[in-house]
Amino acid sequence: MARLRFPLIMAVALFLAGLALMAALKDRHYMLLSLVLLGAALLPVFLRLERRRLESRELVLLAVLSAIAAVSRIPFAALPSVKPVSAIIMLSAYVFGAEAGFIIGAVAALVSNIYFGQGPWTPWQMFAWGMAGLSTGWLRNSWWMRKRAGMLLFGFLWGFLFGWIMNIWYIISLPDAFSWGLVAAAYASSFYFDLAHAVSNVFFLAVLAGGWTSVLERFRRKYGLLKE
Amino acid sequence: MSSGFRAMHPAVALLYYAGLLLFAALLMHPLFLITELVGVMLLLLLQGQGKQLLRGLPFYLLMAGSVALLNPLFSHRGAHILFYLWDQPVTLEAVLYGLIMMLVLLTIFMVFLSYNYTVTTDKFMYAFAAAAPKTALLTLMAIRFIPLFQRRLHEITMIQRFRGIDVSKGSLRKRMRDGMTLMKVLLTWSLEEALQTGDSMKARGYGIRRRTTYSTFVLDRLDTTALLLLVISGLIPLILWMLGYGTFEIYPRMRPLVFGGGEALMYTSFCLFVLIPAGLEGKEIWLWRSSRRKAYPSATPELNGTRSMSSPSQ
Amino acid sequence: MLMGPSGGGKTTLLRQLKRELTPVGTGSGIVRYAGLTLAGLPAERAAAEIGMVFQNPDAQIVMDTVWHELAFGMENLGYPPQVMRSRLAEMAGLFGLEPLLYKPVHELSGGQKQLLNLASVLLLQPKLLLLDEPTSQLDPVAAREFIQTLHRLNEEMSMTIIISEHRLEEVLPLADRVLLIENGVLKAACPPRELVSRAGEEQALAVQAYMPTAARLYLELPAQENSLSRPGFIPLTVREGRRWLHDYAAAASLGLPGSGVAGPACIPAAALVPGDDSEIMHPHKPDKKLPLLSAKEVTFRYEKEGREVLRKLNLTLYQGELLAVLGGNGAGKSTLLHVLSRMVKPQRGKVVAAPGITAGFLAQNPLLYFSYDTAREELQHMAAAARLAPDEAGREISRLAEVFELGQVLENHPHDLSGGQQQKLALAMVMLLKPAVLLLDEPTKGLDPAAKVRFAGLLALLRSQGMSIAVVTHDVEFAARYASRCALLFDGSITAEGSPEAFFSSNYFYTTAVNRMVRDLLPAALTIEDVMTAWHVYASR
Repeated sequence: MARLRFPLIMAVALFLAGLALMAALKDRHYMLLSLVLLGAALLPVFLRLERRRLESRELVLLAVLSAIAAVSRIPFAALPSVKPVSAIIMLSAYVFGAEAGFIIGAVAALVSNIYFGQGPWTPWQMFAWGMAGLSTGWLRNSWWMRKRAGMLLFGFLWGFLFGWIMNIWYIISLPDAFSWGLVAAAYASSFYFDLAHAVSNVFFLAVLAGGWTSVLERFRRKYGLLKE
Repeated sequence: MSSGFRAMHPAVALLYYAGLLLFAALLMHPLFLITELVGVMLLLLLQGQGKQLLRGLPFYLLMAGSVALLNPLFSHRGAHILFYLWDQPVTLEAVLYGLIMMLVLLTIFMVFLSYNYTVTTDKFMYAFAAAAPKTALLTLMAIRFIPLFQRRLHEITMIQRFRGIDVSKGSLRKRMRDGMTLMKVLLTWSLEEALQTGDSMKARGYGIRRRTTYSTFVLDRLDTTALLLLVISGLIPLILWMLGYGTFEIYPRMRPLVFGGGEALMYTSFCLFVLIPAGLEGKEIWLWRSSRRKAYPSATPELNGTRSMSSPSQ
Repeated sequence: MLMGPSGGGKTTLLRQLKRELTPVGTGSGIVRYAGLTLAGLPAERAAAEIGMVFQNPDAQIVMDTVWHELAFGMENLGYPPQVMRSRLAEMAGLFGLEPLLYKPVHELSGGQKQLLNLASVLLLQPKLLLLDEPTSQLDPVAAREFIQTLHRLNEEMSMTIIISEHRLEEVLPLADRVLLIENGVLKAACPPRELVSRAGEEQALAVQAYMPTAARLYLELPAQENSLSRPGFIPLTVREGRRWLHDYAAAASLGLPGSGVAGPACIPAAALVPGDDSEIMHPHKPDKKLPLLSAKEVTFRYEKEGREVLRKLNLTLYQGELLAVLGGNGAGKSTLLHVLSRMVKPQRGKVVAAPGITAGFLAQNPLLYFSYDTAREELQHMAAAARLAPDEAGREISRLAEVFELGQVLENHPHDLSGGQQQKLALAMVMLLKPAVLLLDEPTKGLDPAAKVRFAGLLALLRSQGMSIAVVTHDVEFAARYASRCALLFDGSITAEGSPEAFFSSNYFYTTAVNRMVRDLLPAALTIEDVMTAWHVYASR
């Protein structure tokens, strides 16, 4: 059974992909197609993780940061839509790079939903937070990201981007109503949440940037972790 | 504690929920969707998840209901115009499509609700441990850390209050800043300890060779039977759907629903698929009841708790 | 058994023996395992045959449930499922882990976690087991159980065990060989009894601090002809010590009366016994009893439906005293301190403090206090939180740094300090709040004997400045030695309290090793010094 599992899962995945493609072409069932596309987006990074030789300390580090990001929802439970998860993921990515950022983001989403409840939003959250980490990691050496203002702006942008990505799965369920009007309506309805997210990102990044990067850098130096 | 469907092999549960999601996304047919919705809700009730269902219902209705409302407002395709709103036609097709999408979303929410109860973390991990061992290991470690960090955070919150760091007092700005100070203490402490975790992994041979997986799940005959039944009863409607049966065409012009022999076969098989777990669950409940009546006439039912994040780990 | 002061190189030595954990650095010399150099050992043998258990029970656990954690090592080594299953079944049976198998690890107690860590290592069937202070974070009951398990492994499986430990009373008598390591140098390597006799000959006080009580008493009392006439007989355990002491008393021509009734019931506190810490022991009770902080009929529970952790508890803390609150695991000792320091509010009853009094609380884990990059910053921020004026803060910080011997490390990162220094830094931070009452949660956990004496000296200093201190502890010896009053917390309330002499001598099991040894002869003697005083009284008669 154990040996069969991998090919079995691959076969099921391929089957689902084909089915989704067919469904999308035939009846415009974009929901299924979008899931398959999401899977395709998440797969390469996780495949790389599987292939890569990871020291035990590095693996623990990734797990700790993911869990910290997930737990960080707790002290702010009293303040609605103020969640430092994105900021923590972006800072981790800033220090440890794109790949680590993506994994921390995706795993944080998956793990926190084990407690808050999985739903159709899980893969989208994994994707959105993963991408937040990935993009921060990619851009961390650019001149404007090195500047404080650039980083804060980036965090602000991701506040909105996150909300927009999370809107997609909702919009996709109405392929025929798709119009700029619908998009505008969906995005207008989530505007205040997104704004709060964006502003709290800026705040958290501004507060955290110094302290947290120095903590993370200290560990990186002290133990030579995750050198790219 | 697990019993009934929850106690079965993870493969059964995963296949079942994957099938349900697939059908919910593919079969845009009111009869099938309502059947699936009712079937899953029945399973939820049998699993004793009625409270969870009620708690989540307002949110689900809001989300799904808004779809039903938004579609006719933004989609104007269709031949049967009901009335005009702000100079825009509202068509019967768009209304129907919106309603069907509402059903789809509701069904998906219900499926996940049941999934959250049935597929516990170790079952989920079991399925992925072979395909992606490192990812599974990483996720499991993160899951292990969460209750530990919660407890640590609780301690830190208590202690740091002495130095005036308190999330429940002061301006929003100060509260957010204080919250992050608490998180930073947690981060530094946890990273320091995590190095010991890393050592303990290494000491037990992590990274020497490809990991095997130990599992507590055994595929027994009931599991195999259920798997087989699910596969067969699931494939029949899927194949028939590919052949064009059981479709409900709305756009560009609504066609009346047809229900012929093909549909009948498809529907029967579909019902079987949807109801297998509820049947298993029901049978077990019935067995317990009758055995208790026989063995301990005065016994009272006991409540079983489940693991959840809201209860503090003290 | 490895022993010696903290920071002397015990951990480094153990890590040299475990190839995967050998620290980075320059080294010379060869470690051989079963005829092979450690570096030449195949990776799988090195991982499986040399097992290691560390200090902190929580930090070693990797997986989320007990069975998963047990399987972790075997999965790493790629054992087939059938092998894993049967080994796991065997081990769960041996350790009685079956009822815990499906529990998430965070529901286990500290002792259970450490047993789980041990079991997880044993599943790889090691031939050599390395343990680095495995019981330092456990309470005495769990620690004893853990050590008994090790003893069984050693006796029944003939497993080689190398353990570094501060808990000498239990471990030393079981050891075949004792290695004393100080400042990275091997000071002695011999059987325990030989070490004791050697320590007696050399009069090395530092070594004597590491002897079990029976052996220390043996060395302290003037040598007698007939007990030394039996070569190789040196008492290590309470049983041996008691037997020897009875012989000793009988042999002394007039003899201490065997009945015990006529023994000196009250021991003069001002004992003129030479010893490094005698002046901080058993200090006078304060003349005027000024209550500073009291709990009145306090009832507390964590959850609405939870059990009552504290139940109608009454306790008063007076000025200038050192109150030791003892009690079993989960008796609510920490909760009591949380209530007294007003971190949590009791559901019923109240905590009354004398006007203008603040209480400082020192948690078990000093890491909870640190959030800045250097020790100095921590202190400065704490001073700001305590609303001290900048120049006053500066003075206060340098004064505290001197008292707590932190001057050298003020610019270091708090996490890079040693455990003892971290504790002192956290204590210094608490002191900035200028508390009149200090509440300490298990302050001696994990400290080596010498550090304990130093810590007690610090407490005595604070008390001499008029501070009163409450300590909750498992450490009977510490309470008996340094407390001015002891109280027992049981079932949510204080069931017994009194001076250490009265408190412990009325207990039968829950008392110091010395008391258990000499109780028939000197029922009120709690420490070696007490016995010595009695002996002097006897000798001068």
